[in-house]
Amino acid sequence: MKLVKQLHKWVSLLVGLQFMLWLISGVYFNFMDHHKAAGSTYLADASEPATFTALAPLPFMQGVEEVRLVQLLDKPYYLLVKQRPLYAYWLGQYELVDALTGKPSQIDSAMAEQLARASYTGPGLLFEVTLQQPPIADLPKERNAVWRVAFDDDIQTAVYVRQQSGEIAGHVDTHRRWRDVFFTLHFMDYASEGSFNNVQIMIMAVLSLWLAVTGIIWIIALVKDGQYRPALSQTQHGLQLLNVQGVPAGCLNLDGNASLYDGLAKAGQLLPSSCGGGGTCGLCKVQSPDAPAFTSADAEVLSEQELAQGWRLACQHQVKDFSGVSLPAQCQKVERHELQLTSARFVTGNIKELTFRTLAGMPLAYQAGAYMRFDIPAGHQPSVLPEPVGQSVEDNSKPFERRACQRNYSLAVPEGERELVFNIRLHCAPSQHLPPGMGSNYLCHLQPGDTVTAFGPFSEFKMIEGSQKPVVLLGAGSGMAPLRAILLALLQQQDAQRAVHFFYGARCEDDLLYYEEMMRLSALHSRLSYYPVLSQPSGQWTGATGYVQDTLMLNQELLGELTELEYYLCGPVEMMQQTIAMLKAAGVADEAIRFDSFGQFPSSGTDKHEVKR
Amino acid sequence: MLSATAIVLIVILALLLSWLFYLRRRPQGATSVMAKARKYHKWLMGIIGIQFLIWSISGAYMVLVDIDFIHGDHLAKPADAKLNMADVQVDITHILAHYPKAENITLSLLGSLPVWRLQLDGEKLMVDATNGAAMPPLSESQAIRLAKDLYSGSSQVVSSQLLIDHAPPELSPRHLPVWRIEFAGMVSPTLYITQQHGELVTRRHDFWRVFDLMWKLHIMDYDDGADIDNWLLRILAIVGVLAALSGLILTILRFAQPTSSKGGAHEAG
Repeated sequence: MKLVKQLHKWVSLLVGLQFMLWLISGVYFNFMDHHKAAGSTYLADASEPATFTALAPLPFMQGVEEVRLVQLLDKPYYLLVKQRPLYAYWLGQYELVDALTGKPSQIDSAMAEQLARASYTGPGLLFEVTLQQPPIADLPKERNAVWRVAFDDDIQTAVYVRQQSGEIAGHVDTHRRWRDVFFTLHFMDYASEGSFNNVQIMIMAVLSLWLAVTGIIWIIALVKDGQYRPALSQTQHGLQLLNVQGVPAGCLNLDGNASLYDGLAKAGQLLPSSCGGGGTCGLCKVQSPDAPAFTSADAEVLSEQELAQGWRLACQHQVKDFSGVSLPAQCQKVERHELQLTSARFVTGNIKELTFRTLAGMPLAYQAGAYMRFDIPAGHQPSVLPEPVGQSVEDNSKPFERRACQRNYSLAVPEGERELVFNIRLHCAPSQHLPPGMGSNYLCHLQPGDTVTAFGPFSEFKMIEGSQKPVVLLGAGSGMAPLRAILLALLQQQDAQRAVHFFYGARCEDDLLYYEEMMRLSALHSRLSYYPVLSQPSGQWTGATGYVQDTLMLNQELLGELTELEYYLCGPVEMMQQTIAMLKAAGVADEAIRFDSFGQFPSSGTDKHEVKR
Repeated sequence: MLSATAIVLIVILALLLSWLFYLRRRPQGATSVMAKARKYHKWLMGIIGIQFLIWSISGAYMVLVDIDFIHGDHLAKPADAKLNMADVQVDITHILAHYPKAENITLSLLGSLPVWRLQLDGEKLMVDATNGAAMPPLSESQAIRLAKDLYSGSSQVVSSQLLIDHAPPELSPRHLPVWRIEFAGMVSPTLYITQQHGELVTRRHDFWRVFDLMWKLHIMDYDDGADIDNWLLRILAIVGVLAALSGLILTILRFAQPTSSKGGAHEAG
């Protein structure tokens, strides 16, 4: 079966175009006007057979097979057939004798013209008369010399008169020439032999026979595999999405009769595929705890072990055959979403909180700490100015050119929320001659209702699986976002008694992101300890001051044994570098430290491009 | 005109390729188009695929077997015997005098006998050119003898039949009445000779009969093989274009697939 499919694919490459030409020309033959296509538009009716009296006796002749009494232009002639062809257009040998005088006669150009006029009913004037020897472009089958009598009518009619016999070989006009073009294409008669027994068409015909036979075999296999179940009605079917670990990660409501591949694609979860659902590339495989019986296509591309583990090709099964599926890890990266901005507000002077929802209206599956990649289209826009809290600033800066790019931003909420929240740090132009941050300016310029394309979410920065160790979250600036998601996810685990320590650094009170929320949460959850740290506090500040990583080290006794904790870091590179160095010095294992960098770690200094946030 | 068509085809091909190029830049776009094409191809071909098989089989037969062989040109010896004017005792003036209303007058051979063949009030008539006598229609034995003379093979006559009112599909009724002389052989070679004029009007063998069947199947005319514009064929041909086009798109996309297009890796930890 695999061979059949391969053959079908390769043969289709070889004959695909000719196949289309056959069909298109076939459709043309079907719909053409046969009278016109035969060149008969201006063809006069054949004259009534004439009767004659008083003719000259037959001349003496030799080597003649047949004598015909014919009428040309109302005059009788003896047509002496010296070599009678099987078909009129094949080469024959004829002589004409004037039957009134008994003298040999010839079709000269003047007579050819008169014969042509007699068979022509169109409005055209005579244009030219030429003698042509075969091959004749207009008459590929003709093997006799002919007079070409051309008229200048609307369809460029040419009347062909056989030079020896004076017979009309045919009328050829635009209609007939078009038909002949399609005949040439249909018969692949590129050598104009007027035949369909040429080598090229024989090769193509044999190949297409292969194409058809393999296609039919394929159809039969599809029928056997139950792939021809018409989906006449839509039935909603809830499909549980499982993450790589088999943990439920969202639910999709899909049409139960669609193929799983189509259903997921419609829901924005496009599985990889290079065959587009033919069951041949094997890329759209998914795993399911309750996989249906495998089809022959499954068996061709998946190993026995994979089949036993519940791997199936999504294109080969219907949605309703599954209650839950686990998508391969790599395909979660290609998920594409149209997000619509629902609200936007500056939460500090230069960090804007953007809240989106998916246009598809379904929650996304990801793990807390994940980020999404935003498509930033090329464009032209004014810079967005930071907004000192409580007062708006007139936007009077010069517009700048924005080039297309992509930017990553972490989700500030855990999975399961309808709303997708991001904290975008606005990067202003460092000087008048340099453009501001492309991604942040674009996103901060969006108004509620605007849509943007984003890929992901990508769950790379995430909590250690199965651990119950107390957690230290440490971050600064817009590094808040993934930490907040993790924090909220941890607090959602109601029964857990896991301690959570959140160290968050900012410059001054106004830069403390989500300060009220954090205070409220720490009041609500005794296991949450929140440590806001300011580097340039005002006089009223009574909390910790300095750098956030120093505050962590100063509070060691509150945390307990440092090696018994796990650490999640997100913020400026220097902050993370120093924290990691300090923790390692205290004997903390590498595996217990996870960080989300938005610069090129460990290079110093923030990059001019915002890699993340 | 062919070059104009070639230009149009090249333009179409160029459009198709640029579309492809556009899709390549959006790999997911290509995949979803391919999935659609796949679905249309599967369903349309599931419905009319059998006709494609019929088209392919009949088309292959017609192009693989030489048309001149099909036409049975080899079944009869070439009729190239020449008239001997010494034998022609009856001149055209005699014919015109006796049959003033004669039309389509020819002088040719029946076997080795020169004869005048003509039409009189729509009826065929043959006059012996050696003595001017009107000849009676061919008897069965005359027809068989003539057929044997014409036949290029050496096998025996297995049947002879005079067709008067009803012509089989392989014979045009305008030739009636006709002697049907069939010879022994794998392919049932058959000669049709007109009763009045003794002319070989057509010949058939099984390869031609199969060809006629294939032609009917090819143009989906299950009636008499004369219309190539029946509606069944029209609908099938148009649906066929869509079915094949979806397949062609599938082929192009399948072979022009970008090598790798799976999301980007996250560049930071």
